[in-house]
Amino acid sequence: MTGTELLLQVWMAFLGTASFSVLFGVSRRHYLACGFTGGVGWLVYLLVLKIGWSNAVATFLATLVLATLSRVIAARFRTPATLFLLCGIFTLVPGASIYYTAYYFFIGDEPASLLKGAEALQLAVAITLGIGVCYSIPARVFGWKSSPSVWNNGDRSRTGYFHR
Amino acid sequence: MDESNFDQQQSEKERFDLVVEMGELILLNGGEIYRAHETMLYAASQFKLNGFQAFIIANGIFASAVVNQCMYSCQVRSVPLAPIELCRVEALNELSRDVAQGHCTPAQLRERLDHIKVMKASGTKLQILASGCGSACFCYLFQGTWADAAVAFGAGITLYWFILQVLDRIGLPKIMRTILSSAEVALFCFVSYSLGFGDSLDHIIIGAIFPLVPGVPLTNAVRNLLENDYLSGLVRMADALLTAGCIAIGVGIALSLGHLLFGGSI
Repeated sequence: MTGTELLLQVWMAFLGTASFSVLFGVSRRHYLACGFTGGVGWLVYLLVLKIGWSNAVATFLATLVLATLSRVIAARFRTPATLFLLCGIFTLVPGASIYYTAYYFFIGDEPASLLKGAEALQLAVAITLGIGVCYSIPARVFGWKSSPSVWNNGDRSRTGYFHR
Repeated sequence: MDESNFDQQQSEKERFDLVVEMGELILLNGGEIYRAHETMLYAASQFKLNGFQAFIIANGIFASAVVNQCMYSCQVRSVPLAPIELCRVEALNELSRDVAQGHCTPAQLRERLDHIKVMKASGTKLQILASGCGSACFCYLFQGTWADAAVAFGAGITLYWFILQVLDRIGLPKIMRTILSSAEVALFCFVSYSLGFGDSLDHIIIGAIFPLVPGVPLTNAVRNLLENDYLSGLVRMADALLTAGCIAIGVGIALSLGHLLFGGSI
């Protein structure tokens, strides 16, 4: 892949992510930031693939970088990080894989369906781990004042090990 | 004496309603489960609700609090898995911060909640354009050519036009909506391709249906599962699989119909 092509891909990822942030109802002032996280995520993904690592590892690393970026931007604007994260990971989520899983299943090609299903699950787990690793960084690092105090008095059973 | 006691009961009930409604709106518009939970706990402690407890899953809220000293009041809300509207989550987050700092009375909270409920970030035309633009970009990212992307752009535009202008007015169940809208997109792609636009039908279709595919619900499902929230994870997983199935059925129907009408082979 040449440099121009790489740049073009990243630009398309930026544009696509920004478009989907419109569909997700993000407020107007955050369109650019959403597109930016998406573009950076796709850039990392492409670069890791270029080294020759697997699709899942590339997805994991890209998610890690873009989740961290989302949290940095979120702390700057004082908004929930989900805004940027949900839009940013749209380029990485296994949308095509889950569609092909269902498609092959209905046209009767079960082996292909299983293969695509496994791929979709693998990518979803990679993304989840990426988000999980990023969210286990304390909120203070990103400039939030403190962790929520509500959790300190009692029941923590409902919170996962990486809920924030 | 009796009357003031009654008033207090009423307002306690009202505050409880407000707290639960706040959580419900966050969940409904795409906020995470922990965010809804946390916001409710903050608001409850700020509004002096005794013994407030909440249990939240992907499509429901169960909450209880002590109203009138000794009586347990309980609320159960069913929250449908709806399309997300992130500007509302942002506004609610700001609201919950104000509530937690005590800058917001119950009356003000009611007013702001009613305002947030109908908030919208963008108009219909912008959404239709964004759908086309997104489809084209994703078609290109998935190895489509420029010609493919151009067709996907058109397909994406017709997709959201169809959803917003036609399906929203009829009011069909979710399954039928997904099947019909994906069939519409696939048919558009097939006809354009038959007329000689675009290079690869497969690439065009995958780009064009991207606004519909449940990639984010699937990821959220796995996230919930790994957070030990098995119930929410399974609910979302089932939703994602069902949506993907509906899209595949819609595309399948449209392609068979296309071949029947226009000839040719897969």
